Amino acid sequence: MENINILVEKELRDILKKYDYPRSAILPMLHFIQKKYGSISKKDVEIIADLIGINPTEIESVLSFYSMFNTGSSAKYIIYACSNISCEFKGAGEIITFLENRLHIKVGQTTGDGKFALRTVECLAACSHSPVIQINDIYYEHMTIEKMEKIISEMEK
Amino acid sequence: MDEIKISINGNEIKCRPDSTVFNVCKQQEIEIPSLCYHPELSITGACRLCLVDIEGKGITTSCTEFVREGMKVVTSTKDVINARKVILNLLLSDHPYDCMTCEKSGDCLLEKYAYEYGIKKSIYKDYHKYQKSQIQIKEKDGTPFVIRDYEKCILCGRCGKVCEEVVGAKALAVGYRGVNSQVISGLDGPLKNTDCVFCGNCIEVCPVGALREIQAEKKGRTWEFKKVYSVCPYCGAGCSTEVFVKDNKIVKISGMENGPSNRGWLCVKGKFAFDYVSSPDRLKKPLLKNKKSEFEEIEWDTALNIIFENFSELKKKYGPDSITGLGSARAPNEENYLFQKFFRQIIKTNNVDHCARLCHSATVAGLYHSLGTAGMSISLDELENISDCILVTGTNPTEAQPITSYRIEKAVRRGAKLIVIDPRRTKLADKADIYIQPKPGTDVILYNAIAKIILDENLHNEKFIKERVEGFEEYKKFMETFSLKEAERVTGVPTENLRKVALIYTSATSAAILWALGITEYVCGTHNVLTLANLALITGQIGKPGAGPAPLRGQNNVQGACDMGALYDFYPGYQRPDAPETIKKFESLWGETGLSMKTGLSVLESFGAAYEGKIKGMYIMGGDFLVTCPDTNYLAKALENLEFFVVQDIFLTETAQYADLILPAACSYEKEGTFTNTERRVQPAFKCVEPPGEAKADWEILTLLANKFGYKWDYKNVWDITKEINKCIPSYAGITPQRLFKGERLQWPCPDEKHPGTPTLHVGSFKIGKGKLSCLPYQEPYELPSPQYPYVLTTGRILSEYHLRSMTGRTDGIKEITGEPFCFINPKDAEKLKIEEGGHLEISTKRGKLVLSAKISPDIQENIVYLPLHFGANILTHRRIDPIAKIPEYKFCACNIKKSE
Repeated sequence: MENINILVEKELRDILKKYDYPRSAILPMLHFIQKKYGSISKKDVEIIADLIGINPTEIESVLSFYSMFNTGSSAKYIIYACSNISCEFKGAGEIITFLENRLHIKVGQTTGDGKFALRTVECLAACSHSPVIQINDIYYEHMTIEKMEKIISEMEK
Repeated sequence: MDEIKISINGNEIKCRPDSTVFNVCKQQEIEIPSLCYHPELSITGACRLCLVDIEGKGITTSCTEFVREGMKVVTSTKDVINARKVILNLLLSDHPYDCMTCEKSGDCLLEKYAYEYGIKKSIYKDYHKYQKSQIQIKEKDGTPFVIRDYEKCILCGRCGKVCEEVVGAKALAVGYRGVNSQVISGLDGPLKNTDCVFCGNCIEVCPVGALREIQAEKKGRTWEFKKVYSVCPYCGAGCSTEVFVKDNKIVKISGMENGPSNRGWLCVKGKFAFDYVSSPDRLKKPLLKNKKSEFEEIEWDTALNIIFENFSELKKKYGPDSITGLGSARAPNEENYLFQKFFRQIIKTNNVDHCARLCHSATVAGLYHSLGTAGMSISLDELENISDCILVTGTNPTEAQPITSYRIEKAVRRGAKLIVIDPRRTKLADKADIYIQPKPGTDVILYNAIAKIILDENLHNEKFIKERVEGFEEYKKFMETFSLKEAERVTGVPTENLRKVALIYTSATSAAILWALGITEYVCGTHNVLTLANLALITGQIGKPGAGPAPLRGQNNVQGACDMGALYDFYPGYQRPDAPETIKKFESLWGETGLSMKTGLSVLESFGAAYEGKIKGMYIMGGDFLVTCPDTNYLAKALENLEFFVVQDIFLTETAQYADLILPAACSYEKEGTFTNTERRVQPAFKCVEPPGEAKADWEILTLLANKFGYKWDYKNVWDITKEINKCIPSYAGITPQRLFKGERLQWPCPDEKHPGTPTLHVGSFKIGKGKLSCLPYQEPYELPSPQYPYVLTTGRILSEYHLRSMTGRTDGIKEITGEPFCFINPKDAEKLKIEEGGHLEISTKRGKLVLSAKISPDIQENIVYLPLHFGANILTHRRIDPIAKIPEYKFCACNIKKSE
């Protein structure tokens, strides 16, 4: 995992400057790191805590609260499949099984080539469009196995 | 505040408008179940169990609901009970049913409510079986003290709140979301890698068995424990404790709920460092040194006869002043009182002193001279709730008196301004509004400079000075010649920063000044204290709640041992031996004639006299003076010179090795007595366990010994002595055993049985009439750096250890977290000497050398070595003392450091 270099640290400081109340910068700083590196490491958390001047425990409690933050291994495409009740009713389970078979990985794993990672998440707050799959920053709604196959083969190219 | 009326279960109740429904019900003794509420913590309404029915609102959590005029509350309708049952069912669905093996059983709130609401098994599916595979159960995760068993956690959030709101460590918080929520520490790793200070207060507040003491594991069920109230044996905060005992062994220790100085909280030492009590090394029988210099066990009667014969002979041969006695700041008041009485009444000498001489004698001397009363001016409650400026100097309460630091931090969160002045950057400096880092040993000039700024800028309180202070004209004149430029040069602190301090201090309504040994342990210690008293006097920051000088005492009864007159220059209650009225008073109280009016010898003077052969006999009651006094090698020679040397202690200490006779003493958990804490509060401790072998309480030994000398001391128990203290010391007159048994924890002065005690000193007038200002010239430390010894050595404490570790060092967990002996140096010095973190270095002074591992920290100034005193620091320190208070200069000597292979 890449460490935060001096340039990135400067950018983090710039984010911090925007807020009167340093604690408010926790989420923007985490988003920035995720965007930059695809995932957030323990080391990153310590650096952010240090910059804001608070205890790392506080950052960790925020970071672990949001399932959209990626703290595990990174991949080019991180697939977040909603497994909450509305999506489940509309067939999320089948889609997750399809993805596991299609990518030859289990939920929580990353493909050998580092291209896809599969995660399940609690509610993406788009129940009216269920089932919902999020890939990186993009929501794919009213998902079906056919649509899923199309998206995956597109991304495999 | 106007009261409002609400109705609870049809009864009209008057209450304050800032109360919650939960609190009003509690006051009315209507029980409402709750798992997350704690009176000392913020309200979150996390557990959802304290449901009540409020008219117009429905079923709602009572802890988050503030009362309103005319509110109608019903606490136990069928619906409310059912709703609470749903919550309990949900909680239990995620909790193992292992009460039969759970350490918390009998004291578990979830178990209690399940019983009361008749829930045998959750109506919901066993969720925790699924959950178990999801969450990591952390057992004994890297700390030697705390078990985190999160399978049992109900996520009430109390542990995180106490960590943040009371301790300020923020090592615990709730992480993750929804069903996966879990308490995390640091980066969700072991507690050891976080800012955890191992205070164990999270265990105290856990309502279930999720957080537990490792020491108490498998030691018995909660209902088998006997619970005894005691006082923590370590620092001067004087925390009230509840000691849990089974089969004559201490199982665990908790803070006493509503303990006046600690409000139920403890630190790592008070909570966990008690294994010394049951250590196999405890002394169990009197020991006599034979001709081969080996100790052999003897009977008590023989031992007492030997003391009687030897002291009588020395007295006859060399006179009473050839014998000296040293009491203990960790023995209760009654025993120190009896100890000085033994020397004054029976030996007939004022050669009696104790270890306060080595820590706060400068405070006693300075405050006695300037204000007439030597004690903390305020209470810890005032510090937390009233003081709006707190100046902390020469003390590191975070490590040396943690309970007080919790309170200081609470005051800061409340909005009080914090000024920290210390040559070493302490943790508290991070929380300070302004931090000043002067060169060590420059306090007089530093505080004179602040006073000069105050006078120059007319920030002093003229009305107060006119009414209550004397010597102002002279002081003003003295200050006229004072140069701020010179002060800047000597202290290394820009005048502008001192101006900020002066402004914050003088603009406060109630400013307190806290200090400890970083002020007193100098050859000019008394002068240092006087400069602080000057500041309070010229600004009128004294004589009102939350304001005034507030020395933080080092040991749990150092205030009391001084009050009891275990001092060469004071009888009990600070009555001078050279005053005929004192002698007359005590001659009549003790039924004695011929008490000595000659001032005695202080601790170091006694050892000096022993070295020179003038002191022939010595009696130490609880104290490892060989290693706690400066210059260990010199001390050893002094002890070897003694003709007869008795040590009464709980362990065969380094000092005891030199004794001719050793008497085994009971430790504070094995006897009764009262302790006076840093805020002058007198608290009783009761007997928790029996002493090992034939060890006896100090007061019993002294009574037996006095009777050997032909005196009829007939104390049947400790409380008989307390009653005698009530008669001897006017400020203790009202602190009677009856009031102590009733639960009263009074602060002296308490002159009669109806008096409520005195939280704030100096209100209206000083004991000596007017406060005295002193003109104090700067005096350099005794041993300045030289080409051969270019570094400055300074000493202090660390959190996990206490003194020379004879007590703390006997708990395995404490040894684990302290690790190898170490000292701190500045990164620049480390670079210069090519010393790496954890590498070894040798510190040498004119008197000796020591090899330790190095910790590199920018908190230490360049050219300074900070050595925790626990690691045998006194082989290095020098013996020069403050001529007034006779306190040694532990905080400053010249040394050299080099890399050690």
